[in-house]
Amino acid sequence: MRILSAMVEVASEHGTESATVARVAARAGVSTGTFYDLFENRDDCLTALIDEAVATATKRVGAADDPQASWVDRVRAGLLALLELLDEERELARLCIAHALASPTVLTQRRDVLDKLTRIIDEGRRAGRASRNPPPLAAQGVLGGALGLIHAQLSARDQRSLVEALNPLMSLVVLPYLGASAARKEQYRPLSVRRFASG
Amino acid sequence: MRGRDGAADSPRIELQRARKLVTAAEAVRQFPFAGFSAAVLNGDARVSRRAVEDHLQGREACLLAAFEQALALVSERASAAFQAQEGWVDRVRSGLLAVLEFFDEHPALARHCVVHSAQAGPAVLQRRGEVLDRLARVLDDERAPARGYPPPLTAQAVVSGALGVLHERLSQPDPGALVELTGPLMSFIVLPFLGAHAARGELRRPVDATSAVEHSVPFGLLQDPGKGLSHHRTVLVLMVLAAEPGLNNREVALRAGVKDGGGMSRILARMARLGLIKNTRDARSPVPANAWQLTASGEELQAAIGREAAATRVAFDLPEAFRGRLDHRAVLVLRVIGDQPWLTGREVALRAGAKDPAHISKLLKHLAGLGLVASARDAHRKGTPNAWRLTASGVQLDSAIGRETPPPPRSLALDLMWESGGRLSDDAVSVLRVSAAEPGLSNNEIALRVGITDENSMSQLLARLARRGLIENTRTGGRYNVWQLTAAGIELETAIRQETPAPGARRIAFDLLKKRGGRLNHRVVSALGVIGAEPGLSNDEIALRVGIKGRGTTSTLLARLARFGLIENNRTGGRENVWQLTASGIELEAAIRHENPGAGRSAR
Repeated sequence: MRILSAMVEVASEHGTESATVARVAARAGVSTGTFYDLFENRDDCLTALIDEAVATATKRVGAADDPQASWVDRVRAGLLALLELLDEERELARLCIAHALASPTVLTQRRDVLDKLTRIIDEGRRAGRASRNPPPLAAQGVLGGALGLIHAQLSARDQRSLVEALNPLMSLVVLPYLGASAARKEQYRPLSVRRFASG
Repeated sequence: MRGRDGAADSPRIELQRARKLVTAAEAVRQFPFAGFSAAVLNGDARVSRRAVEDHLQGREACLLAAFEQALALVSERASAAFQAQEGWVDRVRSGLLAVLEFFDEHPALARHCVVHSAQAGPAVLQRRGEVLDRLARVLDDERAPARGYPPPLTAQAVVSGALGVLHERLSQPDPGALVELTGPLMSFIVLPFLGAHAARGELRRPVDATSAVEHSVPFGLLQDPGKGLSHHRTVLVLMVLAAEPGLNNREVALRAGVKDGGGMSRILARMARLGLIKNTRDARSPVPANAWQLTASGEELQAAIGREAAATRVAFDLPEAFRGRLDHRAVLVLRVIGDQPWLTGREVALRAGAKDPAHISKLLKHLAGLGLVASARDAHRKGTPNAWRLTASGVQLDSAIGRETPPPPRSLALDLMWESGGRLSDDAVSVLRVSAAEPGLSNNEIALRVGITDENSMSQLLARLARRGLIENTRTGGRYNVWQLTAAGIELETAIRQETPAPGARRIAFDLLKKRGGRLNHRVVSALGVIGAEPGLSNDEIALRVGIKGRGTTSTLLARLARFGLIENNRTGGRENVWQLTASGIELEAAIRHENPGAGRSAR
């Protein structure tokens, strides 16, 4: 959709604050009237953008998921798919993360997504030894940590591929559930990057 | 933070300023275009781009000022709590607890610091990022440079994770008491650095265990009925004797309202033992009667109690329920710790002459509860006992009690250890001794000599010692570290060597041997003795002297000793090995010989 793409471009060039309706409409080659036909305001447009991004991410992560695989492999595949998507759509990712924290309407949606991810990560409790007994906040903390690192790399406009962070992130994810040995294994596991056809 | 005149403002003013700034920032955040007319907002009236940018900059500046002010307050609190503790875990826990307490007390500031700052513009986000980086560096102190684990991003991830948890809680309308998260968050924080055992320990640890607040002694005495160090009768006697020095037992009992004469005698005797009062009776008098008066220490304590009681409006006419006891054993323990800080509970018990260490442990816990002693633990070592020191209040009480004999000499080794960051484990001491005996060893070589089998544990230990400034890595190239003692390390190692009694050294040596070989083999002892007495022997010569018939057995034994770093082969040519003891071997052989002068020589 042209207006959403224009929003991403303008926000990445001028910052979210300065991504005005007039600028976005001009970049998309539509009138402001058309913009307001489709969206209530700028925030509505940004929210639609995030909805779109979340849907794409869910689809990509879902496609990478193999229900027969072990918990570690499933988490790894999902994280890899997510990092690949973020690498491909860095500006969109940056905008989504910034706006997801700034908009109260999106915050609720963000919480739902995080809850879902927390539950998936916490399935590691069944994968590890019962005696390991990970801390109660393990999943929340691990997820927060992973998102924080991704956010930091995106915010710093670090051009390194996010996929490179897969092993350290996986190491952090599995550590509370499977222990230091499994975490070390994840850290040195070879990266097998799959490329999804764009579009 | 400073006021207009340059003087430091009081914490209350700082807090008020922060609250005002945050309120303003919240208004700016929620109504970003307040002040613009409806016509401008609807796009009906033109407004210059400059005007909009100025407005946005002003908004950002407001948010940043509020963030900085709130941050300064929380940093001050956390930093004080952090510095008040010893050891990484206790420091982090104390800092975290202080932050959570602050957030509980000031929810608006907490939301601004954690939640709203993440939604602000680039200036605030950048500052936020800097703060997170700083916190990560504090945590990363635990990630040693010589280690491959935990991974490099751990500290950042842990900080972000903890912040994520707080963000989640503070985003809710009713976040509840954040202090309750201390245990779970600490458990999450320490897990990657110290492992699951330490993480479980943090989860179980009581929340107020690391509170940096230390109570003043006299006020603690008055406020803590029936728990060992408080006794209203003691206070009454102090007051009576301060007012009328020279009274005898009966007179003191009368004025203090104590009917039991025997009880009064016991109280007076105990106070005299503690150096609070002295008996000035004249033995030459035809009818000798006790004449009690306060000592200098007693006067000091009485004055301190008077000051604090007045300040807190606690009357000396204490209720009947107030029936504490000034337990002489508690005072003895206090004195022991005052004379030599950083002793473990067992060592305190030994010096205090207590037969039951459990009783001392209970007593220490109680004294810690009163804020008289504090413990620190080298959290890097699992199962390490606490090391005890007096708090400021403990020092005050200790000096107030006075003493009859001069204090024993302090252990230089313990003081140096603590200066470098805490008590050293037996393994750490072994590393120092090995490094002193054989400078330039690599990680593996040291591990072999001190009997540490896990590579990571060895790296962690070496990195910790390096961080403490006791050893340094002098590697200039190649794959292997080259460790040697620093000046501080040499000083400490010398002190340890001089202060370690021979039986202690012997025990360490035997433990080392047990660790290395699994059991103390008499042939090992004999072989060490033989090589020590006659360096440069070959396999066959050693076999002959030790009495081993099989050449294979001799080779295996010597190879094992070489693997443990106790002997080395100095063959430079020819077919025969040339064995001699390494520095570790010499040390071990000497220790064994000290224990059993005949060991290793019987076979010769």
